[in-house]
Amino acid sequence: MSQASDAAGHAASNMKPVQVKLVLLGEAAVGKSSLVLRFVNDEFQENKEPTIGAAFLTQKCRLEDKVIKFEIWDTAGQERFHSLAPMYYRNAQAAVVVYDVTKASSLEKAKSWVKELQRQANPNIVIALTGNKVDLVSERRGQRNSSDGEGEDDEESDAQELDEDEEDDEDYGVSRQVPTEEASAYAQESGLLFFETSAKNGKGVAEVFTEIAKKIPLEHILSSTRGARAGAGGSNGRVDLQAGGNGQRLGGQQDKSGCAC
Amino acid sequence: MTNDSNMDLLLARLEAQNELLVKDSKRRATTESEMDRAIGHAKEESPGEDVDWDYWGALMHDYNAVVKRNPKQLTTMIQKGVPSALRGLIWQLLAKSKDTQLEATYAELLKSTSSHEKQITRDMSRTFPNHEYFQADGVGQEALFNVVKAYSLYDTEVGYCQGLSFVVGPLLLNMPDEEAFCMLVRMMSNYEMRGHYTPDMSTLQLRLYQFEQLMEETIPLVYKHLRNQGIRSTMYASQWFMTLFAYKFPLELVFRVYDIILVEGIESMLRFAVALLKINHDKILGLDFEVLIEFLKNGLFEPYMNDAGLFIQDAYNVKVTPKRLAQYAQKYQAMIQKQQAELAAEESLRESNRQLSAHVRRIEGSLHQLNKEHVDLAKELITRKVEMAELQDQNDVLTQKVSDLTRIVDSQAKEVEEQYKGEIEDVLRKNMEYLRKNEQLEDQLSYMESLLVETKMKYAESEIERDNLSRKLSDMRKALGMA
Repeated sequence: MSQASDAAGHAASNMKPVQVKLVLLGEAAVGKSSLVLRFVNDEFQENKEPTIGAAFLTQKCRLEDKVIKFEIWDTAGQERFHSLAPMYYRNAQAAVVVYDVTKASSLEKAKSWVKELQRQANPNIVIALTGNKVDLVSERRGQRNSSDGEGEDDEESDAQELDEDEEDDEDYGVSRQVPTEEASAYAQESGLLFFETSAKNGKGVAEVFTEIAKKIPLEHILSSTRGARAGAGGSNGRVDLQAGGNGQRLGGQQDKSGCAC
Repeated sequence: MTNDSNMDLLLARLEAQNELLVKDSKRRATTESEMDRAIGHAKEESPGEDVDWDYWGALMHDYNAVVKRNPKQLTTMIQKGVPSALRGLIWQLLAKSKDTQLEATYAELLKSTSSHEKQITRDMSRTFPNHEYFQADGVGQEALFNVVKAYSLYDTEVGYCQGLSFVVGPLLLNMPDEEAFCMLVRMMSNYEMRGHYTPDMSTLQLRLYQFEQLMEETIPLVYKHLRNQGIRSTMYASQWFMTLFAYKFPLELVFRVYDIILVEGIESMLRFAVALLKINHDKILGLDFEVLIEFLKNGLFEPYMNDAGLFIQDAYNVKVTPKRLAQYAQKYQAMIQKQQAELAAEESLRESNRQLSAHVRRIEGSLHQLNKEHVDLAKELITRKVEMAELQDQNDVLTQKVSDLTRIVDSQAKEVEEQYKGEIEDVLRKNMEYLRKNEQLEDQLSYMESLLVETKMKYAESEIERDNLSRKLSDMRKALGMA
């Protein structure tokens, strides 16, 4: 509690952080863990180990007079871990479904996650569709036409591995495969928030969480989660409101990201 | 025969080892008394570097005979730690993985392309990213790629599963890639690790269950606390079991875990898992969910950081018997069966629900139809009623009109009659007049007729007279003519 008080300062009446359970889903290696790492620690790790099972992190931020504490489950992306996902999204109030803008098939996977969430998750879940790795595509390339300038900024772009899976072709140079308009149109028709981000340079990352915080019915959560709150998978799991470790970033994060929340 | 190449390597390594031995013996000589004291103090516990080169040398020369002679000694020796320089060879002996034919298969597989290649490539730079040997474009990473890729082709059901490369890494740090491949194949089959990576991850689930049961039995407070915090073993231990602790733990500890697993079987993995929680017992009880989950993943090995021997010792102090594990497995199977039965029941319920829903939909459809018909009928009824009302109104109006008319007619009849009477009287009167006039006219007529008769008489008389005169004229003419 004391950390929240320090950070939120004057707003003494609203010290109790609103806990928002959030889950990250998406194909393997689209940058889920990197997004969280950027949001929580404002860091980027070049070759982040694949998440095995799931990882849990928290981050507090402020929205108007409230302190929000995101409790984030970062899931493993490989299809084989799919069956574990419901345990993590079951009680979530928000989901960030991530795809890689340089990999068309990752958007398809994202769509199937959205469908699953809409069918099986909390009916009021706020879903944000997030196209990551925009640092890999220059503005020019952003306009679908990737015929030019392929080699120019490869030295920084090979940082985030693009790659991947079974089906798609060699595409190391990095052309954008998912046009912004296409993903945004899909998001709109499916009622999702939409963002494009770069976990590597931080672009757009804070907004994802701020906008989610704005859209979530915080009052409702505040009143319904008092007392009994469930940890992922556990009906009686409790999370320490006093929070140690990760919670401390509140102040610094605000400065760095300029995040209003 | 098949061991030729193995022996070569072995001898080569032993030779190198001999040099060390020489140095070591010198060192030993200087610390003989210390050593004796240490061994005397705690023979089995000693985690020191008291390498028994004679034993390891003998073991490598004739593994089977040495093991047969004193199997217990082997585990004791292994618990003390395999000399790191010999580790790769000892591991292969323990796993009986040396297989030149399989090595040939490996070489063949490397020529093929795996459908998992892209995914594997992507994960290469993400496997031990901070380890010198596995840096990008290094031999280590290439070997890692080769072994994992070859395995994905060798065992297509498992294919590639994230976590596998972390198991292969420690192997490659101790042996060449073709041997690591053979080791991997053995570990997957003989050590039942396949089920950690198959699409259903069935063995992994079983291990997690056994782990929780062991926890409940040996460290009930920790078990209860984790449960109360909503922390399931899958949240932190699946990465232990899928990478044999290599994902986050220091490799020196991981190697020791491999030593034990290879000699005792994969189940000993559970000993380590429980030991880790046990040594952190009090700390765990003081932590809540989010700090705890972080701690479970990254902090547990702290107490063993510089004391792998203690780790092994603690693991061995965790009582894990095959019998108990089998009981847990049975319990797990029963639970799974129950779950499956429940799932099946649920599914059949869902199915009948689907059918009922369809039925309901159909009925709703016909209800809707009926409703529509009802509405139509009601509408028609209303229309009819309205029409009838209108007709009633019209009828009323008409009736009214009729009665009005009747009244009018009734009243008019008299008027007409009276009117007619007058008219008739007039007519009669006129008629009388006409009769009278007629009589007058008849009188006049008869008068005229009598006049006419008179006239006619006169005319006839005159005619006669005329005739007489004519005759007299003609007589006269004749008389004149004759004259």
